Amino acid sequence: MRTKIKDFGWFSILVLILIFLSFNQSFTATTFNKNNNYCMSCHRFSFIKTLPSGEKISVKINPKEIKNSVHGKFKCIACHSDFLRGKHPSYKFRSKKEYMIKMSKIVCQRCHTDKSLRKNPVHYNLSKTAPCIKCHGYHNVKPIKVARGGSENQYCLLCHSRPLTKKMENGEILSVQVKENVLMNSVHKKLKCIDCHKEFSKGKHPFRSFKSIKEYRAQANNICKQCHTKEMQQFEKSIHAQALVKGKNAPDCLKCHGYHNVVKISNNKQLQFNLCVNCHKKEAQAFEESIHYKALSENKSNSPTCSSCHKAHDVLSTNIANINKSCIKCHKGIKEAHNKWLYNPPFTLKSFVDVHFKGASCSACHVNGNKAIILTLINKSNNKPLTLEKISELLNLDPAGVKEKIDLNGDNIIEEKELWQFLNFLKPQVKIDLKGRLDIINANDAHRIVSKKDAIKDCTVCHNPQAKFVGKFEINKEGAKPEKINMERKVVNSIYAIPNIRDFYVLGLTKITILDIIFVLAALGGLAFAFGHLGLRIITTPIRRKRRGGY
Amino acid sequence: MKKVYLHPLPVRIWHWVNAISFIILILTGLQIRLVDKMHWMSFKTAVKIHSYLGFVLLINYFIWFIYYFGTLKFFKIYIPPIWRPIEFIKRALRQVRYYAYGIMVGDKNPHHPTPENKFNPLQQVAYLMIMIVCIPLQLITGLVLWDPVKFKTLGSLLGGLQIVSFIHTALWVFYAFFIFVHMYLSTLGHTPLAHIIAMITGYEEEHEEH
Repeated sequence: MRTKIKDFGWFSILVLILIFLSFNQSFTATTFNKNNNYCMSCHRFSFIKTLPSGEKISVKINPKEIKNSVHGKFKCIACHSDFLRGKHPSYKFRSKKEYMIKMSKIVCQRCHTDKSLRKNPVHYNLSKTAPCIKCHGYHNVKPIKVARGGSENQYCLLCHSRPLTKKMENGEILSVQVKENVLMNSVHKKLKCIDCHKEFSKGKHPFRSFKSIKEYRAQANNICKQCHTKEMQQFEKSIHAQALVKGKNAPDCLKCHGYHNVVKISNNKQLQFNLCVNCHKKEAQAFEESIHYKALSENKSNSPTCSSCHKAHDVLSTNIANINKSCIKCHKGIKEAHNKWLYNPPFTLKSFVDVHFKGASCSACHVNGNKAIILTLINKSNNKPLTLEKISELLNLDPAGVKEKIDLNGDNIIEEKELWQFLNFLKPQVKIDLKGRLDIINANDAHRIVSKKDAIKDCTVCHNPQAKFVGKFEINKEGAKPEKINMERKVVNSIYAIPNIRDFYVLGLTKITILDIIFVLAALGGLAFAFGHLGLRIITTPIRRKRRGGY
Repeated sequence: MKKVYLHPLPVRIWHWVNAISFIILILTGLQIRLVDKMHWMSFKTAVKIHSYLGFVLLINYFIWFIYYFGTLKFFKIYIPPIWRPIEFIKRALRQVRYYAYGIMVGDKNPHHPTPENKFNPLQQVAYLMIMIVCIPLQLITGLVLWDPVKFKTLGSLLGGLQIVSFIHTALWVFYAFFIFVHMYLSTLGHTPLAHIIAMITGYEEEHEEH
């Protein structure tokens, strides 16, 4: 009997436990449903929360999204633990960004702690660059395995298709969002992300830190260089690259070609033009007055754009770029055309046209601008212009000091005496020569090319001592446009020009004036000799007559 | 009156072509340089004449060169006897004395020209320099200035375009002096036209004086 009672006791406890357990389970399920229903009773409606920043956040919940997400079986309060029936705290986020950051911390990182994230360094690094919500979304959190199974690009775009940003050390914000449609419309649409971003992969996402967007972009040039070696080599020679090295706001690959929206522009002249115009507005205005722009606007197939003359990547300072070559590149047969009237008889040699093409810019005759005799200091050892920076280094002076050394009296005009003195000062340091050319004063005027019928054909416009040219002394600068300082024009007519401006000779214009005076003196001397001797012979006639026995 | 055949036909042709070309070249050179002050002709015409005559002078120089070197007369007529320097210097000084003093007082010209000894010591030095240095240099520099690209190497060898231009102009200055002196000295024959006629006919009638 005692045993039966004991058995009944155990059975009763078991039944009680089962009843309790079943009751408890039913209680939990009911509570869960009740809680979600309770939340959804409001959040199924399109509630919009307006933040102080003006941004709007929808707080409507789509139950399907949650159901299909990795958190499908969670109840609302599993994540939003500070919410309960009867407890609905009100968050005061100033902006959507703050909302995303704080909610990621409060909600996601309660379970997905730094410790757990460190197991996957890529993920951990990423988590430090963007809030969880930015990549994983709000309620539609998908298992990452879905993306890993897709293409590499899809894997990257999983995060980068979202409005991700990267904060630089100086506080600048860079968007690292990549819009798939933009990428697919670019010339790089067939490339994988990792073809350019080689240090990244599905398993590798290094955490990088940049001082500024400028520093970031400087490294971005190296990405392009991986494939576009030739273009990059050309670019590195350019005035743009020099300016970049100097820390100036100059164009790099991205500035002209964009990040992921790289399009082929070599067939679209208007696009090419627009690209440069973004920065060179003044030049564009001048160009719009030219016959070249007329052709461009009429969509003529042979119309020029900026790069036709200045080249696309190896854009050089105009005084060393030999722009004339660019003109000849398009204007084929131009030498023959000039040679019809520009020759030195008795032969019509094309080389005589070259004489003019070398000594004067095309714009000197084809632009209605003021003209100048421009002298540039050349380093004879490499036949390149001597830059202000190099002169500063050689003379151990700052750039302002160099200018003071040239213009000794500070009257903003280099006088003849000042120039020769400066050259004598510089010559012990470096072998130099002065290279001369005829050009327009304002380089921007070169964009205002006139039609052929309005071009200069009168030789005496240049070959005349009184030709309307001013003097300019040009100093090249590294990564900047050369500086033109006013100079006395008679410098080229000085006897000192012979050893110093060896190869610049323009008939009439650069004549050594003193030789004209000596010519007159020589002619007068010849006449004086003749008439003097004749005079003496006349005076001495009586002596000769006497000797001949006459009277 | 004794006649000596001093100037063979090629020399006479060369001389007169040279003389006329020289005068016109000097004058067109002046017009080109002083285009702002002188208006004898347009700049283009002056350049055209100057260029054509430059080539005439170049061809003419070769006439002289071929004649004198071909006949080997150059060495007899133009080369001073440097192997007898003292005697040559003495003769030169006698000639200077004659032009500076002797001619005034009725002395006879110490030099008696013959076909093999046409020039007095002063003429010999002057014409040697003119024919071997000045004219070739004038022609070469003229060619470089005529087309500095075609004759770039020549220009570089001479030290650059400015030096080339300087040489060309300096010689132009020298010829401006020389032409008057030469023209005057040509009147110092036994009659003022004697030497000039000799350069036309080839026969010098009076060879006691120069």
